Formats: sequence, structure tokens, C-alpha cells
Amino acid sequence: MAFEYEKYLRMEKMPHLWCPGCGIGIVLKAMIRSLDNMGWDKNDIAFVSGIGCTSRAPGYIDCNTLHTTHGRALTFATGIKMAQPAKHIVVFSGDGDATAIGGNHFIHACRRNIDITLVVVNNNTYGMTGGQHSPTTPIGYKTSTTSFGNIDPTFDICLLAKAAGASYVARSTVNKGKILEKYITKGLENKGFSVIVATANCHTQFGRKNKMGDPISARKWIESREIPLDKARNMKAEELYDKIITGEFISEEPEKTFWDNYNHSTQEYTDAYQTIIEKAQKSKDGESK
Amino acid sequence: MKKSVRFYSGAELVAMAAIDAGCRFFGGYPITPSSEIAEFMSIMLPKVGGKYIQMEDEIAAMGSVIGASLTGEKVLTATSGPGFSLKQENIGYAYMAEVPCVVCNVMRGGPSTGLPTALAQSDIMQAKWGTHGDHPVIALTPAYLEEIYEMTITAFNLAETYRMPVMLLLDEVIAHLSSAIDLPDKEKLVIKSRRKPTVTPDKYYPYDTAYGDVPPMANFFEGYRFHVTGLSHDKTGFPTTDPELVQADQERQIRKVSSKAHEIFDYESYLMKDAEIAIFAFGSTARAARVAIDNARKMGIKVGMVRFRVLWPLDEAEVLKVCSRSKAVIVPEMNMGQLSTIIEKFTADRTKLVKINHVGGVPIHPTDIFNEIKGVN
Amino acid sequence: MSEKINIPERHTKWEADIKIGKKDDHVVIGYWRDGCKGCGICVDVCPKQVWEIVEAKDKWSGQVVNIPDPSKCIKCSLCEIHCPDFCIKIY
Repeated sequence: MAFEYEKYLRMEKMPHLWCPGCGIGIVLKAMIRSLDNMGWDKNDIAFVSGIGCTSRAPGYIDCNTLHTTHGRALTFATGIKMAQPAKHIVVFSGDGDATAIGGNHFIHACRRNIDITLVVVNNNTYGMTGGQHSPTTPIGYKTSTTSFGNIDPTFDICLLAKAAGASYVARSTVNKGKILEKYITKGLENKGFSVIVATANCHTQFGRKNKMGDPISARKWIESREIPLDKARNMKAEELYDKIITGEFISEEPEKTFWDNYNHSTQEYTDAYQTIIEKAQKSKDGESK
Repeated sequence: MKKSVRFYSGAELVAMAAIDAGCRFFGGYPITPSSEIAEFMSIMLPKVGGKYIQMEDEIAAMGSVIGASLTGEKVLTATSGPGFSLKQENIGYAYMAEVPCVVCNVMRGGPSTGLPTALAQSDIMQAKWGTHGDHPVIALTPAYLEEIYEMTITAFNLAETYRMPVMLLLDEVIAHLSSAIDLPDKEKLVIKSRRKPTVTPDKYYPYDTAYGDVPPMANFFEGYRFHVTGLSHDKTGFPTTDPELVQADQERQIRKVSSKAHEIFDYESYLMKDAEIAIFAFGSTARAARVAIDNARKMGIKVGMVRFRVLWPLDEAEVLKVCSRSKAVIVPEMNMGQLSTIIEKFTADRTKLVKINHVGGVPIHPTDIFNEIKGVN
Repeated sequence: MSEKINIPERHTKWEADIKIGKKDDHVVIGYWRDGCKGCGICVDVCPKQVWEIVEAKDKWSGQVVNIPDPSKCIKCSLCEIHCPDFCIKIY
């Protein structure tokens, strides 16, 4: 039986503004199916975004939607979650939005482990502004601001999120819609900060300058670079250069090692704040004894 | 009922008044000289079940209060000049999306890091023009501790009434001043909250002008499922580039305050009845001016003061009235002439305008003002 | 085709009704031409060459997709999952 996306879409706003073949639509569909898997009331979901191609997504979703300033989506989301801890907050962000202008907010949301699910659609470029290089543009590739090849090293968003303290981190690509759905669902289920990176194609801006100006060749380019995490563990760094490591980055084993966020609390932030409220209300003069 | 009298600092009064006004969320970032407000809020808010969060930067702090306000909370953030500059991005968002919030700016010297621990009144123009684009502005400038309490409550009431950010501009010396004051009776406080929609969700538009210039505001998670954006939008809240709709929306936003400017604008008139020399002042400078006026009056000089309690929106008719019947106007301020450039418009050539501009971080001494009064008399 | 399948109006602009596999196993391919931007991802992901690109003068991209032989469909739903424009439904 076909999935009824209409239940979650503002159909009067469709068709959406993304280019033909843009991967964001695929990620958005995975997101919608994941929300449906959770069975939440639409009224209890806040869908927040920043600025960029990806960030136009909330306009199409029939929830409480918030389209904020560039990079700041997580700050607004944090305010919403703090004020209404029982509600479900989803943030939809691009690579530039989440890791460049919003990089600070990104690592700190990870650090707090606040119960928000962040989906980063990584298309390796700034699509909306004309295809400038972003923190995830691979070295050597051409963009409108790196005509002679990009020299800026890239972020691995998943490793960054893990190191900063996110409690669920996974990556897949737009070629694997079902796996994206699985990861996003697990992110929504996770009580804590979840980061799901969806590597997507921007053939219009990024692909055009790198000999893959149509969606199919851009998707093939992504597919050719996918390496499953289990396989990548046994590979050398130079073999992994310019590869997309897919899989779940946070192990589910209860025993964590030094490399697994040794100093991060597993407590979710709004839960932790509840203990502050209880302490404050017990103390008489304000200071805790 | 016996009123309690004890020592309060300005910062503490902001926090107390915010909580009494119903504020239940504070998102902040430490910055001298406003950090004490955050410190007080971090203790007071959880006691009443409210939420305090220290964000990773000033921009984030502003973002978090807007997010919380959208869920229906009354919200406060506090900062100082450099942080106020950083916050402007999201302050602009709050104007565009019409989200009520109170921004307390404890002013210090600038530009840049400037004088972190010294006082100034350097942000009155930033409060007006800090973010890009045009928008209405309300800025309150208390001068006394009692006023800080009272005007913080007013700030929340105005933010909720007009559905917009309201600036509470303190100067460093007032925020750090401690004194024994009488707090007003809490039961007699007038507390206002935003107007909620009365229609069902299918008929609700977040910027519906059918209900006047300030549309009713639904909360997130209450079934209305509306869209909020910083893009120019139509009444449905969705982005539009229709020139007529964008024009109309901007005009309405400006009008919602300008049409009520005479109601919002507030000033204290001190010995102005027979005054030939008028002093325009606000904040701590007005306290010095008051001493100077008292001294000058003893010498028989007819001098008075218009002390702005609300600086923006300025009721220009009132200022013009004062300027046109005074032979001289003195504007003491702790900046390089931000207020006097406005007053200059109304003095024209008829009235002599004397500026006193101190930016060194020390208060303007009453003697400085007294000497100018003598000079123009 | 049976009335039991509730196809939303937006997705009934064009559809192919075929039988696959066992005799009661129906597939209805719902395709929303108005929303289709002719990107060709469905053509690419389909393992059975159900979809093909055809010229469309009324489209900005100049092309849409078509189903020359719906009986090839094995109901894997890859096209449905990967259509970025919410235009394909496999019932």
C-alpha cells in the first residue's frame, strides 16, 4: 500500500521549489515516513529549519513549522524544547547551515544532548546562493568560489557530532531512502540529540561544475563513494579519502571506551533541567546546599 | 499589608519584575555588565518552574527566547552593547515574525569591546536601527530602581500587546546600583498577555489583519500548525514576493506602534512649567541633571527637564512643543550625540542647543550640567 | 480497478492498472504528472525498466516520465521511495 504523504504535507504548497532530481525531496520523504512510524500527533511536532535549500522544507510540512535565520535553527529549537519538553522537535538543515554558520550551535546542541532530531542534508555546497564551497566540499572539486579546485579540508559531520556528544549519529545517502527512514526513525526514538546526515546530490550547482550536471550522474557519484562503516573500520585513512562512510556511528554497547565520548553524560538535557527545578524548589534561599 | 523594604540591585529588580510579569524563560550569555540579570534568573526561574538556559553565544540566546516565545512563554534575554550587536540578527527575525520578547541591554561603552565595566548610553540608536530593514521600535529607559521594576513589567506588557521585541535600556550604573526600595503591591500590578486567536485552526491566519494591526497569536502545539518565517510573508505566514502584500505588511508593522506612539511614549516633566531652559535626558544622566536643576533653581534660573521614560517611539509633537517655547535646550548624554541629533531637528535655529557628550566611562557630574545651564542663562 | 484503494485526487491524474504475479495481485501505479519535474530518478532506480523519459513541451525541464509497459512492475517501490517530487505511488 502506498504511503500517504498527503497526511503530513501542505498540499497547496506543492510542488516544491527544489530542482528536478534534488535529493532533498527524498530525504524529506524519509523524514515524513519516520514521523509516521512514530505515530505522533502532528500538533505535537515542531519542524524547524534555518536558511538554504534544505531549510525550505518546513513550508511543506503540516506541523508547527519554523523557518529561522541562517544557521540558527538549533537555537530556536532548543528554546522550544526547553519550554515544552514533552513535544517533539525536528530540525532540518543543510551542510552549510549546520556546520559553517551554525557550527557553534551544532556542537553545543550535541554537547547538551537535548532531545532534538537533526537531519543534515549534505549536498557538499551552498545550493541556494549559487554553489559556493561549503565545509563539506571535498578537496579538489570546483565550485563557484573555488574555480581552481577546493583546498579547504572537510568536516566529517558524523565524527564531529559524535565527538561533541550527540547520542545518536548515523549517515546514509539519497540512494538509500529506506535506510534513511530507518536511521531517522531511530533518531526520533532516541531520547537525546540525534544527528542523521543524508548525503545528497546538488547537480544543479555543485554537479554542473564537476562534470555531473544531471541528477543521475550526481547520484552515481555519491553511490561510488559509499563505504559501509564496518568496512571502513579496517581501511587506511588514505583509502577513505573522499569517501562517504555510511552507517550508525554510535555503538549501542553499554560499555563505552575512551573513544566513545568518555566525558559525556547520557542524561538528556531537559530531564537534567527537571532535576534543577526540583532542587531549586526545595532550597529556601535559592542556592543549593 | 506590610510592604517589604530591603536592598535591591537594578539587575535583581529586572529579574524579579520579569518573573512577576509572568516571564518563564530566559536564554542568555554572560556579558558584563548584564551578567547579574542572568545569574538572578538562573536561581529564580526554576523556583517558579521556569526555564533558564545559558546558550553558546548571544545569537543563540536570542534564538532560544524566540523559540520559547512561540510556545506561548513570556521571555527575557539580557545583554550589553557587543552582545546586543550580535543579537540584532535574531532581533530582526522577531520583528519580522512578530514574536513578543523583552531584550534588556545594560549599556556600556563602545564601539567593539569598548568599556566593559564602565557606563555609557551608547546603544539608543542601535536599539532603533540595529537590525537591517525597517521596523517599529519600543525602547524604555528607566532612571531609578523603582522604575526598573515598574518598567520591566511595562516592557513585558508592551511586548505582549504589540507582539514585538521591546528594548529595556539600562545604563551600567543603574543596573549595578543597590538601594532600599518599596516594591509595589504585586496584586495591583497590571499584567498583560498576548491576544490569542478565537477562531478554529482552519480559519486561523497568523498575520490576519482582520483583527487590527496586531494580529492574534496562536502558540505552537495548540492545534494551529502555522508557519513562521523571517521571509516577507502574507497573512498566512508563508513567504511572498508580491510587492503589494510586502508593502502592506511593512506599513502595518510600522503603524502598529506609530499609531499608538502617544500612548506608549512616556516622560517625566520636572519643573517645566515656567522653564526657559529645557534639559532632555534619560537614564542615569537624568539623575545628575536633576541635581543641577535644583542648584540652578536656587540661583533663580528657570530651568526644567524632560526625562524620557520611553525613548522610542518618541512623541515628536511633545518634543517640538518643549523646544519651541525654550530659549535653550541642553542634551546631556553618555555618547557622542545620539539623542541630540534627534532633538536638533526640533530646535532648528530658534532655540540654542547645547550638547554634553561624555564617553569616558564616568558619569556626567551635576556640575558639568550646572555650568552649561549657567552658560546659556 | 477495485474501489477499495483510496487514491488521493492529487495522484490520480494518470495511472496504470495492471495485474502482476498471482491472479489477484494488483498493482496500481499512481503518477502525478503536474508535480513531476522529469528528473528521471525513477527511470534510473527501477530494476525492471518500467519507466521511460518522454518529451513534454509544457514542462520547464522539457520532459516527464511515462510507463510503456506497466506489466513489468514488481512492486519494489524503489521509484516511490526515491521520487523527490512526491509524484509516484505504488498501490
